[in-house]
Parts: sequence; structure tokens; C-alpha cells
Amino acid sequence: MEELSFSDLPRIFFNMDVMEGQWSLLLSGMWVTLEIAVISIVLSTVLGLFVALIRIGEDKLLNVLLIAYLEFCRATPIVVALIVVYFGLPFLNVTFSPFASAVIVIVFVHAAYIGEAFRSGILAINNTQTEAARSLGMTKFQTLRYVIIPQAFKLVLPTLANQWTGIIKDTAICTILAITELLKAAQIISTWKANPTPLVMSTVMYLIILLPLTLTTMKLEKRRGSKN
Amino acid sequence: MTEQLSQNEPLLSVVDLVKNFDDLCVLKNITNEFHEGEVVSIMGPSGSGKSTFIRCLNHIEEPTSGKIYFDGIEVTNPKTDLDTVRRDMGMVFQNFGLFPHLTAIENIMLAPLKVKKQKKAEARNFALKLLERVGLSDKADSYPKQLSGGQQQRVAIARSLAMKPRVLLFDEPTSALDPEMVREVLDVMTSLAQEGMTMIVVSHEINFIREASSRVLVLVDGEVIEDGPSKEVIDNPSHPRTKEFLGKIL
Ligand SMILES: Nc1ncnc2c1ncn2[C@@H]1O[C@H](COP(=O)(O)OP(=O)(O)OP(=O)(O)O)[C@@H](O)[C@H]1O
Ligand SMILES: [Mg+2]
Repeated sequence: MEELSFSDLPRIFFNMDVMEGQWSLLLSGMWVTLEIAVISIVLSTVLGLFVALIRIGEDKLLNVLLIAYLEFCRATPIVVALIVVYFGLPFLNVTFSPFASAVIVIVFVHAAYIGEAFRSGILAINNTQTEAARSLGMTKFQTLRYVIIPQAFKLVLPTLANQWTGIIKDTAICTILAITELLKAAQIISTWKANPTPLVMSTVMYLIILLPLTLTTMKLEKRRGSKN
Repeated sequence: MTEQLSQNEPLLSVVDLVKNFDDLCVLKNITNEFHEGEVVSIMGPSGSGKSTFIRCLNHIEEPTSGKIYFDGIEVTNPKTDLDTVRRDMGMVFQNFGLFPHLTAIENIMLAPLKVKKQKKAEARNFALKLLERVGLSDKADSYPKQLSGGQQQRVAIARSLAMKPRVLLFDEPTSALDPEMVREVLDVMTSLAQEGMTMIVVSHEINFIREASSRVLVLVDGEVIEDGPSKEVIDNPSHPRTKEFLGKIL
């Protein structure tokens, strides 16, 4: 093996010749990542809200089930859940496409966490708010919809944004399936060109996707911190 | 029986009302009647059950036993649709309870829009009138946190009035306010009283009770120990506990 020196690093990790003609594959991978991320973010947020609403309800059985669900998600590596869904469920004659499997698993796991976030947000809203709304003749649902949830949403937005960041990162689990998302695309090019530059470029692309979100989260958290 | 009550028919009546919190008996068999146009004050020492009583009236607190009738409807009947009953019973809280994510006018318009399904223009016009009436025309687009306590409480009163309630319940509406703001809220309440609004007011503002309310109930340890015309009760209390209590707050 030839001796490597420090000056070789650019040639190895930032070799733009390697990237020539490969950008379109990498960009289409980034597009797939964004698709999975956006769909998963929307679905897990909506589902999370439902989880929270059931959790704050009185139904004991449903609550126990949802606590079990949350603990399951906490204790299971997400990649394990993906393997179970994609490779395990077909034995029950339940088959999902790789894309659907990825979305299902990400949504399932993250809705649990988002549900917890919403729940704590809803519980943090002063009870007088509910009483004021109900005393005006608003129904339980109207009270939640127009009074409690808008306030809770504002309160948990930093936590939510954090979860959304996690979802985007978790799209990388798709590399174990036949989905050419960002990381997989980079791997393919990298293997073919026998050079790690595409992987470095994919990191940069993750950064481009995530940085606005993490910066906004930071700003939100700071603003919340200064309010208290 | 809905619109016009006969002369002797009370708007609100309470029969053998009992409320327990676990082992603690907070309201002990209270029976009383409130007629249309009456302004009734409730006073009593801390922990005597005033808040609990007034919150039972619109069933925000569930009574342990007893019956409450409003406008001929049994509020305590499990089959009664409380949301419908509550439209006609406004409530004003000690800590205002304004919705912080909505402006003053949005606070006032929310229930008419969502509960009564009013048109936006209609709700807005009425809300503006109410704001004018409580002296806050220029604060329509302010958020609660931009308003003083007295202003917030006046918005809260306007919000209750937006539903055109037949009775207004107040739970110590001025006790969370700085002294210089008490007056502006009491003025609004006094003018409501003069216009014939039926009001039940938990308060220790002696001047308001004496001048604006027709009757006063003194609640001690979950029992009404005195019930009579305001001036009489305040100037000539008959029960020793009332004397003792008035001595403390006067
Ligand atoms: N949700 C509750 N759970 C248990 N006990 C309660 C609850 N609400 C009130 N109590 C108790 O019931 C009693 C009466 O309370 P309530 O708030 O009605 O008194 P109050 O006359 O309004 O007093 P204050 O003048 O301090 O407002 C108190 O002993 C109080 O501790
Ligand atoms: Mg009280």
C-alpha cells in the first residue's frame, strides 16, 4: 500500500473529478430523502396529535396500550423495526414496498415521541383556559381545537422541530432496502468510483437540509428560554 | 317556559346542593333561588366554598348531589346538554382566563363564531360594540399580554357578554387586580347591574355589594349563614360570624 500524506486528503475526500456526471444521481437521491422525510413528518405529526389526544383522555385501556407502544418504540432500534416490517411481515403475507415500509416504520416510531411532546404541551396549558372556553358553551372538541392545541403547539414547537430533525436523519435507514435515497446513492457512486468523495458530498447535502431546521429550533429554544 | 318566566319563577334555583372533595364536605345542603334581574353578592371567608358554589352553577364543578335548575332545565340531569346551557350563563374568572394566542376582539368573537355559528361581520360588529361599552375600543387588536389586568378583565366581561347570556357569574373578578384597576372593572359591572343583567358575584368589594347588589349571601364552612338585602346585611349583620367576618374586611 502506498504511503499517504496529509496533502492527499483533498484528492481522496474532495475529488471533484469523481463527482463528474454523478451529481444527478446524488440529487435524485436527495429528492427521495426529502420525499420520505416530508411525508413522514406530516403523518407522524398528525398521528402524534391523535396519540396525545387519546393519552389525555380517560380511557384506561387505550392509555395502557399507548404506553406500551411508547415503551416499545423507546426500546427498539428503528432499523430493527424496519427489518421486521420489510423482511418479517411478508411471512404473514403482508408485503409493503420499500418506500412504504420506510414511511410506516418512521411514522410509527416518531408518532410515539411526538405524541408525548404534544401531551406534555397540552397538559402544560392552564386549566382556566379550558374552563373559560367551556363556560362559553364551547364543546370539548372546540376547546381543544381553538384554544388548547394552538397554545400547546406553540409551546412544543422546539421539541417538534427536534423530532423532525430526527426523522430526516432516520431516513438513512432506507439504505438497507432497495431505495436509492441520498445515502444509498452516495454509496453506489462511491463504490463504483472507489472513492469516498460522494459520501462526503452526501454529508454536505444532509447538512443543507438540516441546518435551517436546527438553526430555527435553536432560535425558538432561545426565545422560549428568554421568555421564562 | 323558555323565554318568559312568570313573575315568581326563578331563573336559577339550587336545591340541596352538596359538594364533597373526597372526605371534605365543601358545600352542605345549599338551597337558594335567583330571579331574573337580581344582582346577588356572595361573600365569606377563604375556603368557605364560594368558588365551588358558583362553579357548580354552570357545572364546571360537578355537584356531589342536589339539583340545579336554570330556566326550567335541570342542569344536574346527566341527560342535559351542558354546552347548550352554558351558552346562556357567562362566567368571569379571578385570573381573567383570556386566550393568550388571540387578540382582544378575537377572544370576544370566538364563541359567537364557533358556538353560535354567527357570520364573521356580525360577530365583529357586536364585538366592537362590546369593546366600546367596556371602554376598550382602541384595544381591539391587542393581545392579552399587552393589556393591564383591569383591561384584561374588561375584555373577559365583554367576551362573556358576546354570547348574550341570561346570567353572569363572577368569581372574585377584582381580587387579582392592582387597587387602581379595581374601579374600572367595578364600574362596568355596576352599569351592567343597572341595565338589569342578572348577576351572581363572589366579591368582597363592600361598596359594590352595598350599592350595586340587591341581596347578599354569606357563606361560611359551606353553609349560607345569612341571606338578605345587601344594605341590611352589611350595616346590621345578624349572625355573629358575619359580624366577625365584616369586621375583618371593612
Ligand atoms: N379541586 C379541589 N380538590 C380538593 N379540594 C378542593 C378543590 N377545590 C377546592 N377545594 C377545597 O374546598 C374548599 C372550598 O374551596 P373554594 O375554592 O370553594 O373556597 P373559596 O370560598 O372560594 O375560597 P377563596 O376565598 O380562597 O377563593 C377549600 O377547603 C378548598 O381547599
Ligand atoms: Mg374562591
